[in-house]
Amino acid sequence: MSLQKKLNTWKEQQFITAEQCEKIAAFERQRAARTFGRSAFIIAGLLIGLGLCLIVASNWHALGPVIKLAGDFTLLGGLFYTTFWCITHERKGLTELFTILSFLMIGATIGLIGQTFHLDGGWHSFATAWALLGLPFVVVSRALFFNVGWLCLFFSLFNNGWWEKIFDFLFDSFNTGTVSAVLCLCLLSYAGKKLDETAHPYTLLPKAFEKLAMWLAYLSIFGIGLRWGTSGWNHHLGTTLLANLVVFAFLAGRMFLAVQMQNMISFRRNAILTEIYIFILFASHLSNLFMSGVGFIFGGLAVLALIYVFKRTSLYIKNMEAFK
Amino acid sequence: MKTKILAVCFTLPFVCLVAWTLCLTWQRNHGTDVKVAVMGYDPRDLLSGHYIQYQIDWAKTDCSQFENNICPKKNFCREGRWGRQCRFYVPEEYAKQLDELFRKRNNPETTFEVIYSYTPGQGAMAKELLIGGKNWRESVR
Repeated sequence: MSLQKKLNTWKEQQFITAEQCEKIAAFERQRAARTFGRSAFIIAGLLIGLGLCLIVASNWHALGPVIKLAGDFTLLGGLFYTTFWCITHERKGLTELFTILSFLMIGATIGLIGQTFHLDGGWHSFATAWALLGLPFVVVSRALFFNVGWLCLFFSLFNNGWWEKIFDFLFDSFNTGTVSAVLCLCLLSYAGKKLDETAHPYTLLPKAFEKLAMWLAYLSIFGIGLRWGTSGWNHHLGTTLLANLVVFAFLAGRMFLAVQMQNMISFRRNAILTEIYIFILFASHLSNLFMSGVGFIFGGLAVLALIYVFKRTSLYIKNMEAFK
Repeated sequence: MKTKILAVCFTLPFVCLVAWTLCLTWQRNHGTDVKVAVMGYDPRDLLSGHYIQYQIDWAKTDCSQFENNICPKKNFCREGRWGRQCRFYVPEEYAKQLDELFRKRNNPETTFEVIYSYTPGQGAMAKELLIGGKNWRESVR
């Protein structure tokens, strides 16, 4: 039901007055316009910034290195000052635009310096410099995806074979360490959430950390499920059962927490993920069937059935006592 | 107070980048010029993006340019998966021509060499790419 319909119902039921109804509608209209405006500024910032990076990276033959560097630093200084001006004059949309532009321009400048002096540092050195120098701009940004992006860049500093070791540890064998890693990610996410309660007015970095850690926990859980839970029913029954138990326990735990916190969206998301996982479990045993015409028809029908199940699940959750 | 902190936070990255550029410029201008021979490290990825990726051919390099006639191999380039990898950035439009020329590098007219600015203890910085003893731009005109 749209907000306007809900407001009309509430007005008819005399839950709110006509004046309150008008005020709520006006507030929501303004908020929607603000969100759209901010998103547009963020997208514009990304496009312009990436364009600038590409122009700088194209290594113009016609311009000498001094002119290129002077031009780049002038632009960088201008962007930094404009960002500062936007923040001090409380221009929220423009702040997002120039924050992203400044951050991307720092990356472009590092690239240009590397290009001019023929530096042979790899991604590791580049990411270190970019993440550290760009930190002030990430701290002031209120765009969550930008903060998450910065965290990914920051964690790529540890890319000297560390990630390979972590993935080997996670997916080469299924043991208590694998489960502990997922639990650690959940704990890190919880720590991020707690930190966000204090830091939220100043920066979104703890919130971004919370989200990233939880996404990684989900990825790891599905990694475990797909690697160990869908195969080996005939050869490694114990491991397969245990892997599935871990996946379902994780999803059930998330649903339990969602009920405790009255978070219907989280509950619905996890319920749907559980259904998808069950579907994958069945589909993984029908891989040969999918290689035929009948298999394609069966696959299409299965997807339709899955959509129907999702709808029924959503409807059921909406009417659950726990969320009333 | 908040404005001042913000101003300092925003100025710091700019100052760092300018200082880094000045340091690199000083290092480049105050080193001794040395000439080293070049060989490809991986024929599939000779021209990757906008730079030439190569290894130094120490067997063909004159080590008398260096102190005690010893080539300081570890001071040049970055340690990579397939040995020490070096880079020289070129405009993309010349990438194909340079690639073709590099395949003929055993011909005396198209030998590839790089002039480095070398400062003992501080490493080396590529300054110029030479093809057959001339600036690379002359060979790709």
